[in-house]
Amino acid sequence: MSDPARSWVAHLRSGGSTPWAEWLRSPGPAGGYDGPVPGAAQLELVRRLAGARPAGVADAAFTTLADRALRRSGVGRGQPDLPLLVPGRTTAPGVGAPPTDPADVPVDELLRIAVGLLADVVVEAGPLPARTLPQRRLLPRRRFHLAGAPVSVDALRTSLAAAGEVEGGWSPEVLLVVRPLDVHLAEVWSTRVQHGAPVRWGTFAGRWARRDVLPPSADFPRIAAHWAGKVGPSRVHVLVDPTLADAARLVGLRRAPAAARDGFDVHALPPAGTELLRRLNRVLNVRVRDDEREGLVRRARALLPARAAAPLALPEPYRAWAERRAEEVAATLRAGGYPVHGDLAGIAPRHLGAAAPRRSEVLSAALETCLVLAAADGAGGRPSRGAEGTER
Amino acid sequence: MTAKVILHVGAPKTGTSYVQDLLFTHREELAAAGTLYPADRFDAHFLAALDLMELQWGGLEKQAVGAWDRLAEQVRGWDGTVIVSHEILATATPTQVRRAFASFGDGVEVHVVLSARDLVRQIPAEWQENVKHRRVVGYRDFLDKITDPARKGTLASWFWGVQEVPDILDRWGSSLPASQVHVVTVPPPGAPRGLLWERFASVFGLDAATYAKPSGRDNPSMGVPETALIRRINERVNNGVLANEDYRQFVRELLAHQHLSRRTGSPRLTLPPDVRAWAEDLSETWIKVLAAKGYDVVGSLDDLRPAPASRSEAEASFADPDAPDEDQVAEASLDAIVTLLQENARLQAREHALREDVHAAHRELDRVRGLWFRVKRRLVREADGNAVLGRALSFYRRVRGSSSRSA
Repeated sequence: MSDPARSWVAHLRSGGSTPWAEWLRSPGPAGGYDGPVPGAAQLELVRRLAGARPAGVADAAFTTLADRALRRSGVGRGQPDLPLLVPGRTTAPGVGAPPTDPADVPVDELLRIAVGLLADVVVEAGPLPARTLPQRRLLPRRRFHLAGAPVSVDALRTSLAAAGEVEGGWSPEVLLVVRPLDVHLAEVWSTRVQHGAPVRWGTFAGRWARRDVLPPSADFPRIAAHWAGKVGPSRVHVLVDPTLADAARLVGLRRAPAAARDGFDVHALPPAGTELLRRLNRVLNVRVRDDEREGLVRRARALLPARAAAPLALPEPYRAWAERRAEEVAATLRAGGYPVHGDLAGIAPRHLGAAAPRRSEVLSAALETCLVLAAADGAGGRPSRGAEGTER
Repeated sequence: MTAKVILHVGAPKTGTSYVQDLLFTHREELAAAGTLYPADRFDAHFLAALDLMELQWGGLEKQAVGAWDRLAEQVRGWDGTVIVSHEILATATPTQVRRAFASFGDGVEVHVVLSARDLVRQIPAEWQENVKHRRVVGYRDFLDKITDPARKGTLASWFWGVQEVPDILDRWGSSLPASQVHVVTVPPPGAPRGLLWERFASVFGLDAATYAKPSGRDNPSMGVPETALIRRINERVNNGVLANEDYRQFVRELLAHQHLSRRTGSPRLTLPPDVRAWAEDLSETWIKVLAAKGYDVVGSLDDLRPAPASRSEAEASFADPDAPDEDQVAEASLDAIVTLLQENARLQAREHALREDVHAAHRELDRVRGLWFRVKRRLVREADGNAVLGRALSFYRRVRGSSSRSA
């Protein structure tokens, strides 16, 4: 009599995505796999990989990726390898993890394996070097300095640099980019994650709120006062939620340059993308040395599925704190005599979006990223070590 | 070529720190006799275990990069017997076990050792370990989580990963002959102190008496009010108030290990009667499963059977750490405050001494740098409060370029 578990493994390895319960009702052809039956979480992950597989992933490349997933354990703490629930097959009562239908495996368990798989393929692909800003002209016409929300500032910096306007110079015009405080904090979190930090969003926000302190880039009064001491308050421009055109006008450009999709240093990522990189950082902490990690995170970031940035709200316990701090910041800036472009009320947190990245979206991002790498591998186009300028 | 690797894979709270310290203390004599304990500290294999299992551990995992491969290299390079020991290895998955075995090379005789203690003592000890690792979970909540058959969540999965004796041995021993899988049972309370070491020594192929130099290392238990106090401290210092390295130094090591665990007059942690009955039933199941497997049992499987106690005895001996005697907690808190004050005074004295050293070094540096440096530094300091000097300094720095630094 054929073993439905093994025939299902063969089905999944070849790119099939039939759920286990359905396979049991009408099993496909027997045979094709004679190894030990992997755990329920590994099998479900491969089934979901098959479901998300784009046309560009060749059969052989998919099977290679599937085998890696089937052979690996989840990273970090979680449930052990869950045995596959096979009707009629009994195990010793009270011993070992309960046999599980793959459809019932929690998303967190799938994520533990998916992130480990991603770490494997990213480490194999190798680090991506950092991009660097172009040099300033020998005799630059405009001198400016950008400060504030790190992701927004990096996007402005990159767009202006592409138009030939590189930040720097003696006694510059200072453009302080202010965003709603919760958006700003999310930008700081994303920036730190993109540089290798493994801290969770809720923990990150809580640390600042409990200490009643703003991150350095969000401490607008301190930044403004610092620059006012150097160049005078009239040259410190507070830009509330600015567009690229606003910044370009203040820099002295007649026409706004084309907006760069990503910054030189950090990208505007949706919460799920940042969360995936955060989980990847946790694995890379134990896999590679400090000096290798950031390049590997850049590699993974470059392969993330393109998604529009979405808002991330502060967890409920910290919202009142953010509202109070935003009011204080606005009042201090108002009293500072700085030219303000926009309404300082815009610093108030907006509380839009979910208060934590959605795990199902993080899993989807992990699957798609692994498949992008598999497609490149199958096409002989694996991102090579040391390749420059391949981000996005 | 290595002839034999003995892997001691747990379980936590079964005398593992004591055994590791003995092996570490005697590592040179052991090596001379042909047995390697490849370690530069008693718990050196912890980092290797983190690496093997890709586990995060409050930032310590960064030190673990490549640690397993380095350990395996030492194993392969030794001509004789090698002992590897760490209790968190108990959680390894079959995939990780295969990687571990493969890393030792071909032709090596692998033995797996698991030390085990009865569940009625293990469960409270595991909760206390959780508390000592910053968790704030209450005792009843912990018991509810681990007794839930679904075993969902990291707490329950970790507990079963390191404590479910038959499953651990299945994961580690399924590819080995039963004679190479050893269960060392922890003797019941009241047994001679050296008996556990004798059992370990017999599995390691060592003469217990030769290597019985007393170890100062153990992992002592706290009582009910002390554990309740640490849990309350966790509630106050978690989430950014105290960094992990500070928590380890001041809460776990100083307070819990060095002081609060020495308070012996307080009630001990036990199981409430309902959970005790459940643990007794489960222990019987385990004993049957282990007996059927035919593993090499060093000691007796009867040791895994909890000491008999009637329901009324269990009720009488149970002090609830979720609702502790507040006078006892207050007493423990005062002891903790005194301990921290003493430590603060010690660190302050040390800081004063270091400051003196730094000042002396600065004085010596000034003497060597000469008069012109001291004049420049004086001018820079004056510039802070003098507008003319400040503008002159600013101009000077612009001319000099941004690399100019204050003295």
